[in-house]
Amino acid sequence: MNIRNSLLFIVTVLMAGIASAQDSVRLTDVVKSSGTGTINFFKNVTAEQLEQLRLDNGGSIVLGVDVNESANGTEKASTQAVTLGALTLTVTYSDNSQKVYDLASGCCTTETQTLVAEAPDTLRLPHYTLLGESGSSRITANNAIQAAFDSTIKIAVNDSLFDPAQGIQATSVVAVIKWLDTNTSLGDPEAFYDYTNGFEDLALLNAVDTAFIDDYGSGQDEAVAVILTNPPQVVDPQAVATWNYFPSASSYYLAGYEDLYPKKGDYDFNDLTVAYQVRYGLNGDGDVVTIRGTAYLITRGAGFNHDWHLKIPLPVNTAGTFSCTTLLIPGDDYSFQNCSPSGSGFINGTADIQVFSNTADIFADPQGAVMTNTLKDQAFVKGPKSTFRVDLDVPLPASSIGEAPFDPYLFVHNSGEKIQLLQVNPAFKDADGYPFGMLMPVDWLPPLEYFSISTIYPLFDSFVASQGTQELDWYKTFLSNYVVAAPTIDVWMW
Amino acid sequence: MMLPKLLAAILIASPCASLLAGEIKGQVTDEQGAGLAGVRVCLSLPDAAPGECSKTKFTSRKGTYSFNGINEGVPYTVKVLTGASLTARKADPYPQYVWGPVGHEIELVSRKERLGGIDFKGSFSFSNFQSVFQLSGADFPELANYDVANDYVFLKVYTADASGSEQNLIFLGRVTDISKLLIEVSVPLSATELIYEVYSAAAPEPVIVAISLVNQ
Repeated sequence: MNIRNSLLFIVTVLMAGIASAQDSVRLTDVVKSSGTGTINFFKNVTAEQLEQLRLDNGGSIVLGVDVNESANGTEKASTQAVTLGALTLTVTYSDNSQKVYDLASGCCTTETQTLVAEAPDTLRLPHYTLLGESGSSRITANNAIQAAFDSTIKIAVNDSLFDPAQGIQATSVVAVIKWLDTNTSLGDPEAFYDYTNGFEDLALLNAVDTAFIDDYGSGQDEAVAVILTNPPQVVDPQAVATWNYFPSASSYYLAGYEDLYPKKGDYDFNDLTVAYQVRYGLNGDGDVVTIRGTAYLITRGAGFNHDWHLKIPLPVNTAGTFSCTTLLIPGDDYSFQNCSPSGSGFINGTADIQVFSNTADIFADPQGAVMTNTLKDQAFVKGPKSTFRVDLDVPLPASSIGEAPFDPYLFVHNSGEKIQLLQVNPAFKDADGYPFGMLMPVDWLPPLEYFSISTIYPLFDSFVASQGTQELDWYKTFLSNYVVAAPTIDVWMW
Repeated sequence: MMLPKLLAAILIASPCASLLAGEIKGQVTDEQGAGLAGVRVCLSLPDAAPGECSKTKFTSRKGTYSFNGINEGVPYTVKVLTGASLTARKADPYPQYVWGPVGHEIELVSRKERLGGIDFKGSFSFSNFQSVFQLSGADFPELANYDVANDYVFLKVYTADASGSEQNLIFLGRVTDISKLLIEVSVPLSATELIYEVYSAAAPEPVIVAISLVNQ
């Protein structure tokens, strides 16, 4: 055997060794929607296999958890959480002896913690948490376990589970897990770290998959009030520590436009209605490292075609990358397109994001009407949703970024006109002071097609004539038969 | 070399502009006098920030443009926006803009007391249903009672609806340096109260403070 063949032999042996390591195993038992689970490991592995996994993880049984929550508080597809309330692991041996490992005795850890109050208390105490996400694809995953599971629970088990030479044989290994019942009446963080919807799938992990899932940190980026169990030695200035929401984590700005500018047209103010929300990701120093947002199309009462932009003023020479995706059909993560012609890329200077492109194409009425969600007796359809993010190369003070609600504007293909909100650019009003773009109260209901907002909202003219100093509640008085049927946030958001 | 041509066009465009009653017309041409189609033309008010356009138009096939709805006697400026032809816009839809916010200045005046503390005054553009302002560490004096450098200290800022049952979360995060804390707030004009909570691992019962928002 020459040297080359010797090396090949060694490599082959090493690879054989890797291939023979115990694979991670998805478990049959789950944590149910009630927030509890009794997990019998031996439904899926033998004592010998479990011992292999324990040794592979340095003396810990590691559970992978696929966090599966419905949106509550600031929870969303990209970040969800449950809180570990109780965990006991009971090992029964062939001689009928038992060992019990308990969370309260310090047996178990996860990668994240938070301060949260257990119902019905208001004291916020430290608890281990499990973070995750849904509906995403992990292109770096190497197997189905890495692709599906979000977080890990490490249970330190000091004693062997299987050692024939010593006569050790575990005959039963059962974990009882209970999520913490957080006091959701306090809002966040309790609402975020609650358990709803369930169930959570579990897996027994080998060391490779444990390392991948821990390193991936699913859902950590956008989670609130996170305490890292193993914080990095050197703080990453680009890591998000907190979030600042505009207008809030649970509400949206609502912008309405008339697209015939400079002609007043029918002035029904429903030509395009857009809801949007923005959030700053702040690092440990309070500087902005990322800007993210979500937007929905609500109505399109127009024959014209548009692009809708959100311009976020940044200091000159600001550099970073951006991406933006439009999801076209609720519940269908595969029906999407890039928001803009280029979709993603480098940004230099102010962020001018084409959040929705070609509204006539992406928000057409399914019944074939020219207009969408503005005609009488027309069934309301949920509009497209766009999510965007701008990741800055260098953290910026929040004060250097143009203030909310930023500059949401309409570009009308047919006329070449750009229409801004009156508050951003006072030029966008007619000779009588009527605006072409307005930020509306989020509970405002757009008029039906062809009915002027002045007619349907009788106090609107007084509001405009006073330049907004009188009749501030104009939107609360309207002809209820002439507004779009109930496009409230719980209807259009998805 | 498109840029030199367009730069030349700027010089040519302004002299070509003619002020009629309520209308500005003109033509964008190259050095040879040929009209340039699909070029974006920017109409600016006298006090506009650099690059801020009141209106924009794309030139016709012959390079002509017009702006109507013009106020007589106002010294408008007409410029050609380089690199902003319709073709260029589609290829590069992210041109640079200079921000010129108007009409919503908010000034935090003083903190009067622990409850009902923050007043702010300012003017709101009439399409703006939001109050916009900033809060710094000084606006949360209770933080001084916490060891933010060594303890896990969290700050939560939100508004609540009239019944108090639904919270609109604005900020929730750990505070490690009070001097660097800066929170931007954009709340509906109808909001009359901002609430914040401070809690920590060492002091788990949250301190809850409501501060009044007074529009003046």
